[in-house]
This record gives sequence, structure tokens and C-alpha cells, in this order.
Amino acid sequence: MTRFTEELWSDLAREHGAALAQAGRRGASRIRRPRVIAGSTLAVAAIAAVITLGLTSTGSTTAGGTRVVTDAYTITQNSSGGPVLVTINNKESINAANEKLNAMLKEEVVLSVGSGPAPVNGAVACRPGVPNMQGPPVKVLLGADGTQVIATGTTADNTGVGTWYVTACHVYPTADMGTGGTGVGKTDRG
Amino acid sequence: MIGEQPAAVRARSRGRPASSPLEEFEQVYLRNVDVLMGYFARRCREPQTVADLTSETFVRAMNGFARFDPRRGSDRAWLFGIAAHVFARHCEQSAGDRDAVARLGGHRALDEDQIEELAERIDAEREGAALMQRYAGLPAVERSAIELVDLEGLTPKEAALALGVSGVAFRKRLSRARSRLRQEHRSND
Repeated sequence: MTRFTEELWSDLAREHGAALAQAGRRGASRIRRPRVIAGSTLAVAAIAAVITLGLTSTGSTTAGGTRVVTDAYTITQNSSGGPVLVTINNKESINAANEKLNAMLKEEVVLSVGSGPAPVNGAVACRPGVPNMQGPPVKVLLGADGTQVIATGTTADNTGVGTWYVTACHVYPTADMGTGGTGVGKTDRG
Repeated sequence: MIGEQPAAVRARSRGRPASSPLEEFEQVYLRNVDVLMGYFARRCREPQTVADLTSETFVRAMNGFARFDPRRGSDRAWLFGIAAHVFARHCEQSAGDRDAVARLGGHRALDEDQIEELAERIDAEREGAALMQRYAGLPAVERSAIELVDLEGLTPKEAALALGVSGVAFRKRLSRARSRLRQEHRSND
């Protein structure tokens, strides 16, 4: 802890600890989902951008599955309904990937990207953005091993020049996206 | 990495289970104090303000901990809800009116070392602050939705709890926000 957080805790315990001890606790369960703690803490300083990918594409079929390959990205699904791996080879291609992936999965992936090399190499598993997601598991791999280096003059949008990795990935059904403000005769998409 | 928990915090967090409300709250504090400081550091440039708002959030949390039920949502979501109220109230107050914070015990005089620590924390949040600035065109409620889910890693359900809205209403906000960002993203191409 920093000196500030240590001293703040000392003050809190001294000034309010006795009252808390007397008040007790109403919530008996201490069960916690084992998420958020480290990831969010790590992400706080490092987050540089949020990238939305609209998953849409027909792709080409191989051995009962689907594999879409471009210079910019690769989408692989080895069997119908099986896990999907999205490999992003070039950050500038995200908009192209948007167009491809949408029709394929009817899902949308949102990536949070941090600055620096990936602490763990490999693809990042996307967590369901809403309960009861029906689609297949989706993973996203940035670059060859989880880290993408954008050199000067090569980036058109998104995160910019530097070294990046995916800190978090959420997947949402397309039907859940962009419909919140819409209805018959009304749209918020201009 | 800048936001990583110090070893001492990790060791204490993984120690024996809390045996009293105070120890239980200490674990909540250790898990969340850095994240909450970051939340305020993205919004404020003054170390003293970040210190006061962080302090006030935990004073309120400690006073309300008896009513916190972890079965309804995570402690982080609960704390973000308090932090959002604290920040909203801070914005409503005039610049010179610090009485309310002082009354709640949130105001603490900082020494030079602490000011420097907090200034470094604010500096460490500059990327997050810049990102929030980039999203400044979004309505505040939609910006909050994006921030809590995509920046802080809360689930939509937790974020809805933090903002005090229903899950359905929250998902609508999130959907609108992402829709707007997609539009902006495309228009920038």
C-alpha cells in the first residue's frame, strides 16, 4: 500500500471501526465470484482503448468448419457450433473484421486493450457480456502471441502507435447491441 | 505494471478468512482502494480532491457496511455505486464548499509525500482520462456504462447495481453507447 492508503485505513479503523464492529453484518454469505479483483486493478492504469468488433462474415469452409483468412485477420471455427478463434494480425483491419464477422456469429466482441506486452502469451477468452449467451465460446488473439506492436505511420485508428495486448474481452449477441434506443420508426444510428 | 497490487496487499488479502466485520471490511478496502483512487484520478487533477473523494467513499462504505449484502452483488459494484454518488455530489458543490466532506470525515490533510504519491496516481491514469475524454461526446450515463464494464471489468449486472438502474435499462445504455462509438469509429475512417 502507499502511505496514503495505509494511513487512510488506519484512520478509518480508528474512527469508525468500533461502530462497524457493533453494527455487525447483515449479509451472511461471503461467497464471491473470483473475478474482477486483479484484472480490473491491472487494467486501471493500462487501458488505452476499447475496440468494438462486429462479428459478420460468410467465410470459407474447411473440414466441416469455417476459416476466414485475410492479411489482416483470421477467423477459425473448426466445427459448427465449436469454439471460435479470432486472430487479429493488423490493428488497422478491425473495421474490415467488423464487416466479416457480423453475419457469421450474430455476436459482437468488445476488447479492452492495455499498453505494453501481454503478461501471458496466447488468446484471451471472451466472457459473456450478458447472461445466458447462446453462441460458441470466442477467443481473440492479438498478433502472433497476444502482443501487437504498432509502428509509427501504420495505424489509422484504435490504439495508436505502441505495444498493446488485450486485457479483457466480452462477447454480446448482436441483437443485444444497438437496439436499446431503437424501435418502430426510430433509430439512434443516424 | 502501474496498477498492480503491492505484494503486501496480496499477502493480506489472501490471509486467513475475516473473522470480524472490521477485518472483512479491511479486505474489501484492500481489494478496491486502488481501483477507486483510479476512478477519481481519471476525473480530478488535484491530489487533495482525489484523496478527499476516496476517503469519503470509504467512510460512507464503512458506515453502510452492515447493510451490504454480497449476495446482491460484488463489493466492487457496491463501492462504485457509492463513488458515483460521492462524485456527483462533489460536482454539485461549489469549489469552496468542503464542509460536507469534512463533516463526513472524508477530508484529510496530506503531507508532501502523499501529495506526490497521489499526483503520480493521477498521472498514471492519464491514458484512462484521455479515453474518457475521447468519450466525452457520449451522454454521462452511457459513458458510465462503458467505463464500468469495459474499463473496470464489472459485469453488466454489477454495473447496473452500481448505477442503481435495472439490468434492462443498463443494457440499453450500454447498447446505445456502443452503437454511438461504432458510428464514431466508422466516421473517423
